[in-house]
Order: sequence, then structure tokens, then C-alpha cells
Amino acid sequence: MSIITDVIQSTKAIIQGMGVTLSYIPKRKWTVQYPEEPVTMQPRYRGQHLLHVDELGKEKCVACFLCAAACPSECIYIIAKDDPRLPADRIGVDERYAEVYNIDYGRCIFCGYCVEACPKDAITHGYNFELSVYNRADLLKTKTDLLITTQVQSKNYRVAFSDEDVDSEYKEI
Amino acid sequence: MSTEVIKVNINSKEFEVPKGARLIDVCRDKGFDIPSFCYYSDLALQASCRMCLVRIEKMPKLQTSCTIICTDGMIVTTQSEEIEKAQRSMLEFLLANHPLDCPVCDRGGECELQEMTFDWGGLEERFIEKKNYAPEKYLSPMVANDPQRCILCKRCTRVCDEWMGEDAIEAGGRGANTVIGTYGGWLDCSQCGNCIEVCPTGTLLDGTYRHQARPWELAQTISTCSYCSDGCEMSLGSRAGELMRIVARDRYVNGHNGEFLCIKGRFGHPFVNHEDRLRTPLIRYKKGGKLIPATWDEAIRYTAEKLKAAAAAYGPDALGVVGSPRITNEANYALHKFATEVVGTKNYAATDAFSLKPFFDNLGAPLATHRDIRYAKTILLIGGEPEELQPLTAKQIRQAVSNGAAKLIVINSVPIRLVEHAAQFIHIRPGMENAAVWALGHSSNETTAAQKMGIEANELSALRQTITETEGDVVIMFGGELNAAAQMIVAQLANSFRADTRRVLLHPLPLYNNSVGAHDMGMMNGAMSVAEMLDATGSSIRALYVAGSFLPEHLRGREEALAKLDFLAVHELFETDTTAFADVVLPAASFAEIDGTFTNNDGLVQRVRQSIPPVHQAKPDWMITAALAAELGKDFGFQMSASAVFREIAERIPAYSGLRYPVLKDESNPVQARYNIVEPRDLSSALNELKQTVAALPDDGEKSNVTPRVGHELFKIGTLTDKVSQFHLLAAGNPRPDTVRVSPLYQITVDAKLERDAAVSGD
Amino acid sequence: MSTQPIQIQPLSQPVNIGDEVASFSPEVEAEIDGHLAKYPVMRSAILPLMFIVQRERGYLDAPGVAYLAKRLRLRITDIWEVATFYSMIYTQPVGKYHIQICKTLSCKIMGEPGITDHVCNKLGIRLGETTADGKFTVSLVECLGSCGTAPMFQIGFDYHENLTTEKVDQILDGLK
Repeated sequence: MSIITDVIQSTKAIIQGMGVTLSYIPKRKWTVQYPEEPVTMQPRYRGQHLLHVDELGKEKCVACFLCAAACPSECIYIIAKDDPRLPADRIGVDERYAEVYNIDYGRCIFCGYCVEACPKDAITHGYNFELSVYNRADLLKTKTDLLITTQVQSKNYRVAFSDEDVDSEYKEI
Repeated sequence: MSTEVIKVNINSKEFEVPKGARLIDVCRDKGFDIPSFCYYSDLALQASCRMCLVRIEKMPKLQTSCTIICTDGMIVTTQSEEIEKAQRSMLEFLLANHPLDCPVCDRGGECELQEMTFDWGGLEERFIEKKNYAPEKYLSPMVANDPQRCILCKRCTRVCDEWMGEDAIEAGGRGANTVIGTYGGWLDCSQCGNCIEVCPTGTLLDGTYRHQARPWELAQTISTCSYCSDGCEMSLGSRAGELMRIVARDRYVNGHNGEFLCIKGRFGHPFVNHEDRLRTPLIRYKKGGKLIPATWDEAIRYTAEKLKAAAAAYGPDALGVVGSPRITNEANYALHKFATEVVGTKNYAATDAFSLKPFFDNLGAPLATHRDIRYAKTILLIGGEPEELQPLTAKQIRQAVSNGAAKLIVINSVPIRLVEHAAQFIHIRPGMENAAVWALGHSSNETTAAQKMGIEANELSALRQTITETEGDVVIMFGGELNAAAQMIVAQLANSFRADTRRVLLHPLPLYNNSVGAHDMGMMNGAMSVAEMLDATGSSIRALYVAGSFLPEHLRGREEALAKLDFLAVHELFETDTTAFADVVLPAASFAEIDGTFTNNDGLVQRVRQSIPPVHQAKPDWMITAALAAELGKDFGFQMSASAVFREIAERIPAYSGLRYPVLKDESNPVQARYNIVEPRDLSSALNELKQTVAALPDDGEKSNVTPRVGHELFKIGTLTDKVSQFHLLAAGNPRPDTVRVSPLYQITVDAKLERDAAVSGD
Repeated sequence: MSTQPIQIQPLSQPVNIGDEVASFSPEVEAEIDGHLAKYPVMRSAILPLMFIVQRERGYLDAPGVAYLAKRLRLRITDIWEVATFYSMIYTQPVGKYHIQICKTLSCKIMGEPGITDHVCNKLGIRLGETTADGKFTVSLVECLGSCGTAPMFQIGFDYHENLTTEKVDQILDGLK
């Protein structure tokens, strides 16, 4: 093959390639300037868990251990406790509550089985995704980190709320 | 049940079954699954749950298989569309008032109703009516109750009536409003918790393990109870190194006690993980000084050095080795070996309330197992109070009487609760049990003895007549009131009552879990008893090596005895009156933390299995003894293995020959130690000795006519039960709290110190 | 359908048993002995004795129950079990006039709920309660065997049949 054909083909390839690149410049950008700009989370995103409370502020969790039993990576640790007081004074809705509720995010695979298993709708996945820590031990999140009333939410995300917002990948065509 | 065989056709298959067999048992035995709630083998029939329905040909309606006795040629169908429809409808009715709070309910995961609903329940509930509602409450410090979960199978009421003879819990009200409860809403009973055990739902629950764990997370370990000598098999539920609960549920364990446990077995375990457990070895370097934490190496070295010094100064017999009827056979064996082979002292003993040596040395008949007691035809109880001290034996006696038509003869100075089941009650003067045995030993003694005991002479001849007319087993039981000569006569009584139509079996009633084992290991063969050793401290006894602690009755009146010792080393779980004088305290592991064996009052050699790792720095007793022996220059060769210790026991002790841990593996086939049954002995010297004892007894003793209160022994606070807060409430008379909705523990506080003084020989 | 959950009464209420045992006059004791002599098994006499204790003491109070348990050699739970089964045996104090309204089928169809509401409203109490002056108690009972004249109730041992709200007013006013 001659050098001339070589040069022609290379030039053609470069023009082709640059054509793709240039055609994207005027289009809408997908890159988000995180953390300066908030990330858009999809509605069914499985982020850090949330432990919910009812309308009176009582914890919904009754420490039934079904989440711990369903967990494939065994990352949930619970210590249940009897709450002998009358309903108005209780921590939870029932006479049993979780004294300790730990999730080890070093092990959690965000499969959502715990959410499926919960008979009281007490645990769901939240959107908090910033879980990186400097120390491995800090991946163990306690009840304070998980409870909806005390969990510190990152300011760096917003949740997609309409069809237009939802990722094209998941959009129905 | 007769040996006659009849033919029954179940689901078009012919089976041969013994005549008189119950249909539900036969079907289950042959592999046809029949659901049921209210049926419970060996309890009165109820037939209220209607789940065990079967179709029997030529019978107009579906029949409850739990109430049907098989007849020849019976044709039974256990599975058909009709039966399934009936069962599904029944379950729907049972669930009509049952709340769906399984996530909160402690029974969730091992609930029979839950399991049955998985198999027979519908996908959704069709009832839209309001459910009956009653708040959760407490029936006692031990029993929590949620009335609305009840399906009215009445197992609890039948168990309370037939097993415990207490009738403390009954069904009140009627129709849909029937609830299980008690008059006044407060349970005044022995708090055995068997109603909790047999409850198929979450109606009656353990109030001490309330809302703490779920059954599937607990590692279940089969072990043997460490309180009384009945040796109930039970399942220890532990989680993350903590003993959470003890049950005897069929699904986990199948021992000779069935699902029976008493209050101590079921609720008396919190001492295992109690914060007061000794954490490290402690050494008191100077008499009167403080106990200072030390390392194991240092403690063992220090103890060995002190023992060696004492032996060098005063000779080996100045050293006493004291075992315990509460620790394993392995531990007692190691102590015996230590005493005889390492120290070479003849002064060793076990801290038991009384010695069974004269009994076993003259054993004239096999020991009765608890199964034998259940099917015995005549039971003679001399002294003792099994309903407080050996609850399983008492349960078997009650069932033998009420379900097996056995005759119970009680010889006692107090009208104990079992008297209400007795065919004959011989009410003797206090302390006259020996006289009763003397009279039984030879009929010529009857008149004198009767006079002494304050009874009519014909009462004794009636007793003799009942036994000689019995066809079937005769079980003779005796408590700790008998002296050595009386024990010898009882052991030989079988020879005078044996006949072709009956076996005579013996059943001692020692107080502690391994009283029999401590005897078997030879700890009772020493030259001195524990009391004699304590009396000799400072003179012929200079140093003591004690496993466990002395009983309060040993120390009473001998408070200064331990202070006179040059050296005292103690293995203990807690600080006690004995460790207060100890120079070295070594933290021992409790029954839940070790492997080993106990021997119960049936002579059954039972496995104790490790459920949790030893807490803190505790070590098994035999391991401590072996380490001490090694320090003194003798290698026991146990190599840190309990099974090696037991192999050596089996090699050296004839009654245990051939036994190994694998042989003892199956708790449903318990293995009895083979005690040597001696030829008939000449009893004249024993009778003579007894005659003198009896003659010396005062014959003006006042008979007590008051039945002792339930729990007067069971609720006593001892070193171990002291660690269970609920026991303090019971010991203080089980006061009713202001509201039954909240655990009594949060409402009543009892000053533990006040109650401790009352304890005599509690656990 | 009512919106209130049905609460099981009065069994969940703790009663203080105490140590007191009731005592009766020699005539009553003789009557009790007479009943006891009639039955070969002692516990069979439980119902006649309960009626006597109730007649003498108004209702089965704790000392009365303790007395029965002692006389019949039963446990207090056995007494409780029987007492709570029968609507004629009272485990709580009742008023001078005990209005027992039949709630079974015929009466229910013929307007028992209306009668019950009317009686309760008139007396200002709920079912199972006693008026503050201790005069009236209202409760529902099973069939009283007067289906032909439904709806009906009984006050004490007297039947009042073919009830209407006017008739109820008349009867109750007559008692006040």
C-alpha cells in the first residue's frame, strides 16, 4: 500500500471522528459539574437507607429482624428491646423497638431485599449516595445515621420528579 | 397398651398397629401429616381445634383423629378435597380474631399457627368484622400474656392441671369472648412457665426474654439443666456470646423431660452473662489484704507453690480437696485424680447436702428412670419434697397417678402438695423418716415404730399390703432425711418386695444436678465429710482447694473455719462467702460455656454442651485442675479435650465403662450408667444401728398440718437465682403491681439484701 | 357496625383477692350443707352454692369466691372459670334492678338494638355498666326463651315482653 492511500485514509478517519465530536458540541451536555451542581437522582435509586417514623414521630421499626434475615450480605445488626411503657411514652409504635440498628455499608450491596422484607414499611432506600469515608470503620452507620429525623442529607442531589427528568436510558419510547 | 396387633387401612395402605393406639399418632408415625393444635400427647383430650379431621368409612361425619382409638379393619382417609376444605375453613375461623402482629410477637418464627397458616391458610382474610381486642399484659413477673392471640386450644390449662397439679390458669368467659386467665388477673403458682412452652401461638410468652431476639437468630445448643438432680434436657438459645433463653421445645430438643422445665431451668439462666461474673484470676497476697487481679500463669504458679509449701510443712493429708455436686463429672474426676494422684491426700469430699454412698454401695435394684415413674403402678415416697426440689419427678408422679392410675404413698412429716394425689398419706412426726425405714426393713418393728412416729400400726401394714398386691412397677423414692443405715435398708428394700409380677425400682432424690455424678467420680469416698473438714481447719486441715463454694448450711456456725486456713484456693463464678476467705480465686466457666457430662438421679449420663465461649477469662474447672497438676509436675494427659477426660472416666469407673461422647449424643435415647447391683446383704447390723437412732429420737414432736406454700424452696434466693431480678419479686411474695400492662420489674423494686438472709440452701 | 373495638370485660381487670373468707349465718350454712349432701361429687354443687353466695352478698366478691373454694375444695381459678361462663353469676357488683336484654336472633330481628340504645340513653350508661345511684345495670344476654314475644328483657326474674320504646319508658319510670 502506498503512503498516499495511507494519508488519505487517516485524514478521512480523523475528519469522521472529529465530525462526531463536533456534532456533540451544540447538543445538551450530560456531564454534571458535581459537587458545584446537584446530581439528579432517579426516583427508584437505592441510596443510603432511611428508617421512618409515623405521623406522631414514633419509630415505625419494631425490630422484627426480618430485614436482617433477608439480607444476603448480613450487614444489618439489630438489638431489640422491650418498651414497657404505655403507648404515649414509647419510642416506637409498638412495645418493641430497635435499641441498636446498624448497617455496615462496607458490606451492603444495596439489593433492596430489606425494604422488600419489612412488614412495617419502616426501612426504605433514601437518595443519599455520598457514603465515602476516610476510615473503614466509619462505614458502619448507626441508628442516628439512618433515622429519617436525624440523617444528615447531602445538599448535592435533587430527585427527578417528572418524566422529562428521568434518564433517557429508562424512558419508555 | 397391649401387644395385640390389629389392621388399619390408611389412605389405601394396610398397616399393623398395636391395639389401643390413637389414630393421630398412628397416622403421624406412618408418615401421613395431620395438622393439630390442641392435641398434645399424654394430656387429656380436648378436640377443640378441629384441625386433625379425617374421613373414616361408615362414620357419617369427618372425625377428629385425636379422639379416635384404632379398631380392626378401620378404613381411614387423611387427605381429600373434603378434608382439606374443612381444615382450611377451620384455620380461617381460628384466624378470625387473631391479630396480624407477627413482627412484634416473640413467637414469630417458631409459631405453630404461623406454620399452619403457611400450609393451610388462605391468601387473604375474608372477615371484615372487628376483631376482639384486649391489651397485652403480664400475668406474673415470668409470664406475659396477649389474650387476643389465643386460639383456645387449652394446652396451657391442661398442662397446669395435669403436669403441675396447680390449676393456676383457666379459661374464663364463654363463646368468642373466652380468654385464658386467672382469677384476679395475677398468677400465683410455681411459675414453671410450661404454659408458655406448650402455647402454639404468642398468647403466653416468656416475660424475661421479652422482645429481645428472634428464634431464627439464636444458635440452639442441646444441654442439661444445672439446677436440680432431675437433669432436664433443654435447648440453650444463644446469640453473639450471650445466653438469651432456655426452652425445651420439641423442635429443638427431645429429652426425657419432653417439653417440661421448671422455673429454675427455664428462667434461672441470666447468671451466665451477669456482670458480676469473676473476670480474671484473683490473688490475695497477704492475709486480710485485697484480692488483686492476676494472670492465669501467675495464679496457677502461686497456688501450686502454696499447696506444695503446705504439703511440705504438714504432710499431704493436711491438704483438703473439695469438689461440688454442681460441676461436671469431668471436673469432679479431675479433682479426684488431683487429690489422690498429685497431692496424695485422703481428705477429699464434695459439697453436697448429703452423701448417697451408703445407698449406692448397697444398691439392690436398678434406678428408676423418669419414664419408669410415669408408668409405675405404686410409688412410695419417703421424705423429700419433689414438687419443690425435683419438679420433673413430681410431674411424673402426678401423671402416673392421674393419667396412669398409680397409687402414691407418701411418708412425710409435712402434708406436702403431692399428698392431694396420694392414695395413702402416712403423717409422721418431724424427723421420723428413719423410723419409717426401720419399720419397712422388718415387719416386727412396725408396732414400736408406729408408736414413735405417732401413727396407727395398721397404716404401715396397709402400705405393705399395697406394695405386695401391686402388679407392675414399684418405685421407692427417698429424700435427704435418711441417715446412712436407713439409706442402706432402702437400697436393699427391693429384695423384700420383689415378685414375678412386679419390678422394684429405686429413685434417690438428691438436691443438685450432679450429686449422683459427684458420688460416681469418687468424691464421696474421702476420709472426711465437708463438715468434718471445716471443723478440722487450723488443726489437721491446713489448706483447702475448693471447686465451687460451701453450702450455707455447711458454713452456718462455722463462720471462722475458713479464716483458720493457711491457704484457700477456690474456683467460682461469683464472689461468695467462701471466696471472701480465699487466697486465690480462679474464675470458672458456667455450664453453658463448657463441654461435659452430668449424671442425674436416674443414673442417666447426660451431655452438657458448650453454647457460648467462656465469658471473660473463665476456664472449665477440669482444665484449671489439670493446669495446677501440670504445675505440680503431673501431666494428666487431657490435652485440653473434655472427651479425653471422659474417655479416662469410662476406662477407670466401672459404671461408666464403654461410654463415650458419641454414645451419649442422642438425648432421645438416654444412656444409664451401669451401677453394680449387689447380692442381698445381711441388714441386721444396719437395723440394729437404726433401732438405736430411732430409740434416741424424741417422740413428742408436733406434726405440721400446714401445706407449705408453693415456691417455698423454688423461689429461694441463692448465688445463681440472685442474678435473676424476677426471682426477687417471687421471693418477696409475688406482689401484684399497680398495672398489669407494664412489666412488674419496672414497677416494683425489691431490696435484694433483705431477701438473701432467708436463703438456706438455695441455688 | 360500631367503630369502637370490642374490649373484653371484665376478665382483664385485676381483682384484689385478699385473705378474707366470707362467713354466713347458721341457716345459710345449713342450706349449703343440704346442697352439698345432694351430690356424690362435691364440685357438682358449685352452681347452687354460687347462687346462695350471690343472694347473700349481692355478687361473687373475693371473700365469697374464697369461701366457695374452701367449701368445695377447689381452686379459685375453678370458681372463676364457672362464674364467668354464666351471665346469671355476677363477678362485678350489679344495681338493684338488673336489666338483661335478650340479644339472640328473634329479639335482634324484632328490634333489640333499638331497645338497647333506648335503655342505655335513658339511663345514661353503657352496656355492662351500673348507674351512679346503684339502681340499674344493663347487660345483654343470650336467648331467654321468649322468642314469640320478642323483643324482651328481664329485670331480676320478671319478664317484660313485646317491648317498644314507650313500654320501656313506662317500665323504667315505674321502677324509679
